[in-house]
Amino acid sequence: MRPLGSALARALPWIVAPAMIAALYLIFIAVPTERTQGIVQRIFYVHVPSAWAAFAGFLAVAVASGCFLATGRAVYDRVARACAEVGMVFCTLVLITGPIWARPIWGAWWTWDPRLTMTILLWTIYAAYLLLRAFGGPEESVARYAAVLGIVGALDIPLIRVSVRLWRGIHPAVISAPANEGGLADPTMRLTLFFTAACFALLAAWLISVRLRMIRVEDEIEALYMQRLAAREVG
Amino acid sequence: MDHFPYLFGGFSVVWIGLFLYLWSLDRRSRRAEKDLEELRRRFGDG
Repeated sequence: MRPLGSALARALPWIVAPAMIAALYLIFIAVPTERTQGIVQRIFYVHVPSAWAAFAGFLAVAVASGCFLATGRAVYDRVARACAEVGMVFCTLVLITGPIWARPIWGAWWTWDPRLTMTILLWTIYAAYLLLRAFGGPEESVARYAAVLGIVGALDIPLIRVSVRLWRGIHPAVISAPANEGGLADPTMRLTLFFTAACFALLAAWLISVRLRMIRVEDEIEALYMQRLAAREVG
Repeated sequence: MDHFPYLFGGFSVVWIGLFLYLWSLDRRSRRAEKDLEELRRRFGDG
């Protein structure tokens, strides 16, 4: 499996780059301008895929963390760490592009809408996860605490999904809402959104594979130090 | 076209952010590989 996996990882940037160029063509040339929001609505085509990539990354953290807690195998912990970092990158992009869209449409950079509040809570939980991994030390107990945090954090994702309807926030439901309420009227709009989402998913997979390879090297360095330390103590 | 600066800002943030993260990954990855090689050489010699 490993040669196939690394061949895929090597091929990913060559797939992602032309796909991104095609996505930009769709966003800026093919897709019609939305009638009520105007050109600023095009931010949705990167904002929404970034959100989906972030959610997928954090859900992968939860699954890998669960597997780590169940089996104790370090490989799952490495996957969780890689997914958490990449998920944070996309979640940060969501929290920056959202206010840039909101300023001309809502007249405010930020409101404490349920979906926005839940998203910033999600970002904070995984920021805590990454801080714990960075400064908590190499002990297995730290990895276990982080795994629990990684699972608890992912519970926020379904809440973000249903918050628009549950608490009647002002954030639009892009996919399911009618066109006059911020939904996507034209089929090209949907095609552009789903195509860009696929590009972002591939990009996230590539970034995770690169980060995973780096974590393996970092763990090897750590193991070498520990080995050396143990040899010194015995000597 | 009133909202063009917002559109430009939004897309700039995404692409600059992604490129910065890629650059940071590459830099950290090279440093980690170099450190590992250095440690292997040093501990191997010791």
